[in-house]
This record gives sequence, structure tokens and C-alpha cells, in this order.
Amino acid sequence: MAASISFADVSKRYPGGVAGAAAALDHASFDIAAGEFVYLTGHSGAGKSTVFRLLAAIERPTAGTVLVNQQNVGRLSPAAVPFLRRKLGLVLQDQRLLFDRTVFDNVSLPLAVAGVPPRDAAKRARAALDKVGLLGRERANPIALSGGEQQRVCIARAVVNRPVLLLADEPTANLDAEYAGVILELFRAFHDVGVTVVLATHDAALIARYPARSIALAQGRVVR
Amino acid sequence: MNAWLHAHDGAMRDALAHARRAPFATLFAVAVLALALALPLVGFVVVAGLARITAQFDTDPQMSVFLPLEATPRDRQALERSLRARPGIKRLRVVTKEQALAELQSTEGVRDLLSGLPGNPLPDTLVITPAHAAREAVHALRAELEQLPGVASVQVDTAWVERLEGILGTVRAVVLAVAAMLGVAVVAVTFNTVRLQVLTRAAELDVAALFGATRAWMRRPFLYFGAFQGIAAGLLSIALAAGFVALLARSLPGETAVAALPGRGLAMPWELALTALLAAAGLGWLGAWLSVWEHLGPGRRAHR
Ligand SMILES: Nc1ncnc2c1ncn2[C@@H]1O[C@H](COP(=O)(O)OP(=O)(O)O)[C@@H](O)[C@H]1O
Ligand SMILES: [Mg+2]
Repeated sequence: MAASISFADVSKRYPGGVAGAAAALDHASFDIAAGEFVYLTGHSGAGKSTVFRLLAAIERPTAGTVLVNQQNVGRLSPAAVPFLRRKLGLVLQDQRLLFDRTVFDNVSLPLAVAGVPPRDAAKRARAALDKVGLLGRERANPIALSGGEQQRVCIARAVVNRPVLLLADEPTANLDAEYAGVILELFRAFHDVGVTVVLATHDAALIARYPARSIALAQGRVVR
Repeated sequence: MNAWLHAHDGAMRDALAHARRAPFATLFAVAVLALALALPLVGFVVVAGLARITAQFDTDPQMSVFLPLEATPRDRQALERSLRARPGIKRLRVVTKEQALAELQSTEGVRDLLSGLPGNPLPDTLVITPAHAAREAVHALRAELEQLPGVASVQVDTAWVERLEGILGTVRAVVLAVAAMLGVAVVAVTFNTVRLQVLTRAAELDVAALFGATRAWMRRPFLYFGAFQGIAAGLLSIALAAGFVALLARSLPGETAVAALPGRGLAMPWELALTALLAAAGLGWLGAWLSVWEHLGPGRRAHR
């Protein structure tokens, strides 16, 4: 079970964006095969997060076609969007953790919204927390965790629903090199069982440690 | 099916958890709603009590057939005979002008008044209980009797009951109107409390949407909250109204008609309590539904 991705001539301009400013994505085209492990690289503002927002139907393309498993996600009906998102494992750059809930509640949220029975959900949430080394912290509030631990909670939340497509936006940005390696190992483990993984980073050392194909963005264009 | 059950179970827990997180806001809203519901409830109980009083009198209507003042005892006996021979009359009692005068004279105060009169101002009267108590039958009988020779006039003694029924109809309409207005108020109050909840939980709803929550899933806890709050307010309003009605019944003097009410006396009928409870739940649900429709409806790009 994996998912393919195709961007065909995709442009994205944000409605709030400065008039005359460059588009966040500018006629970007690339393909990612099912089961592939791909890095998305580029400087800050290159358009990496925009790629993820389009894939999760958080934003819609201004022009062009975004396909996930041959499905045009830029034209999904609002009712279909939740079911697309349940197939994704999202690690967002801005984390979006709920600080008035426990770590456990945060991680099991994708299961709760999908109607997974609480008993199964608890088991799977604990398994996901175990994978990121936070099994003892279920009852903690995320605010009491370090930046790196919070990042790991986000990763646990992304993988808890056994996604077919793992989209991680700079997931190792807050982690020291040792834990970055551990997290990357985790993503590679998902890749090994056939999950498509797209990982945005500008950490060249990380890419050097686990070489894979890179798609490089600059000012919204695919440059390599 | 199982997932559906879990989703609803989860939504209910979520709704209750929210009530626990904001206990004072919830209690205050419940108290306001309960007061709004209790007022028409008391009104309905009183209207129902009055209706039973009039129904009780209505069961035995009487009619007074007056003879002309100059009628002789022979005239009276003739009329009595002819009436006894008619169908449609259950009972007949004769009150002669002498009996009527004697009865009046035994009443303190009236005696002096009567002593100033030259003769007996009262007519002979035949007091009739019609066989059929229905209003139409009574009025038909009255029209027939008025046409009889030797009859001066016919008075239906249920006239005051009819007036009371007329007043009762007005009171019932007023209570219904007040109930409708307060029902709108219940919807509005729930709308607002739920709106505040949606706003305070906006971040959470956005994250839920990002991880695959449907609009229905996001709306559900708020709908349950509205219904639960309505049920709590309904129960409290029933207790308040029942307590008030009990006080009212006790404060009324024993010889009033209320004390003689058949069956339950002046008390909250369980049908009314059940209706109030269902209405409260429904109105709460409706208020919440309108609120989530505005804030989590298809128009809003909840986490897009
Ligand atoms: N919501 C937004 N409104 C307006 N402009 C935005 C918005 N999000 C991103 N942008 C702009 O789009 C460009 C690409 O942003 P982003 O995709 O976040 O890049 P990256 O993730 O590579 O840093 C930037 O110039 C950024 O300022
Ligand atoms: Mg970014």
C-alpha cells in the first residue's frame, strides 16, 4: 500500500500575498513514485510547505494539477477532503499540538476522528509513542516537553494512523543530530514497508547520511 | 456500525467533558434556561387545572324555565306535565314563587330589601337537567322550550361556565404565546453558549480537521451539548414549576374549587413534564445546530 504523487505545471499564489510578489509555486512539475523516499530541499520561502499544503488539500492550486494516487486533490469536494487526510501522515512545520490536551490525546486524535474504537486507539497510540521514545510521557502536557520531544509527538501523531503517504515538513529542525538520525531511521522503516515518504529539509548533513533522490525548489520553481 | 457508535459515544463524552471544564458557565446557562422554561410550565399547569374545573361543572348543566309573573298554579302544573312528557329532560324540579321568596328571605340582608317591595317579584321556575350535556344539545333544547306557550324565558345556567371557558381560551393562547417566545429565547441562549464554545475550541477543531475530521464529527459534540444542556434545564424547570405549583395549591383556601379538583388536584401532569423535557432537549439541539451551522457549516473553511 503506497501512494504516488504527481505535480503537473502547478502554480500557487496566496490570496493574501503581496501584489507582484513571486508565486509560492511557479509552474512546478515533478513525480514521485509509489513507495519512493524523496527529499524536498530549498531555502526558506522556496515553496516546500506549499507543496505539502497542496497535497493535504489545505490549499488549492491556482493552476495545474496535483494528483495523489491519480486522484486530483486540487478538485476534491469538501466532503472528500477528510478521507484524503486520513490516508496521510502529516508532520506540519508549525506542529499544531494542542497544549490543553495530554500527549496521549494529541497522538490519538487522528484515530478518534476516524472512529477507531478507544481500546484499539489506545494500543496504537502507545505503540506510536513507543516508536519515538516517549512511551512514559503519555499523561504529560506537550507544553512540559522540550522542543525535540514536541517534534517527536508530532511524528507519533503522523504515523499512528498507518498512513500510505508520509509528509514531513522539516521534522528534524528542532532535533539534535543524534535524534534526527533516530527519526530518520523511523521514516526509513516506514519506507521499507512500502510507505511513500516525502521529507522537506535543508539539512545537507542529514541527506548525506541517508542518500535518496532530492527535489530542489527555489522561488517556487523546481530547479533539480 | 461500530465506528458510528464509537463516534457518537465519543461526541457525548466530549460534550460532557466540556460542561465539566466550564462548570459555572454551564450551570448559569442551565439556570437561565430552566427559568425560561418554568414560566410557561406553571402556566400550562394552571390552565390544565382551570380546564378541569370547568369540565367538572360542564358535566351537569342546568336550565331554569321561568313562567310569566302572572302565571297561575294551574298554568305551572300544565307546563310541568308537558315537560315531563318530553324526551331530552333528565330531571325536573319545581321551585314555586313562594319557595323562591322564602329562600331569599332566609338570606341575611336581602330580607330588608324585599320587605320594601309590594308583592312577590319572583316567578315560578322549573329547574331542568337536560339528558344530553353537550353544549349544542343544551342550546337546542333551550330554543325549543322558549317557543312553548306559558314560558316567559329560559336561562342556561352554564352560561358562566362558557364565559369561563372563553377566558380560559384567552389565557391558554397567552400562555402558548409566552411559551413560544421563551422557546425562541432558549434557542438563542443555546446558540450563544455553543458559539462561544466553538470559538474557544477553534484551534482544536482546526487540528482535528487537518487529521481527517469530518464536519459532522466536529459538529456532533456541540449538538449533544445543546441537547444535554436543554435536558438539564428541562429537569430543573420541571422541579421548579412543580415546587411552585405545590406551594400555590397549598396556599389556596380549602373550600375553593381547586381543592375539590378531581384526580390529581393542581399538580404537574407527567405528560406535560415529559413534553417539556423533550421540547427542552429539542430546542437546545436546535440552538446548537444553528450555531454550528453558522460556524462549522459548509460556508466556513474549517481547517480548509
Ligand atoms: N498563507 C500565506 N499567505 C501569503 N503568503 C504565503 C503564505 N504561506 C506562504 N506564503 C509565501 O509563499 C512562499 C513559499 O512559502 P513556503 O511554502 O512556506 O516555503 P518554505 O516552506 O519552503 O519555507 C513564501 O514567499 C511565503 O512568504
Ligand atoms: Mg516551510
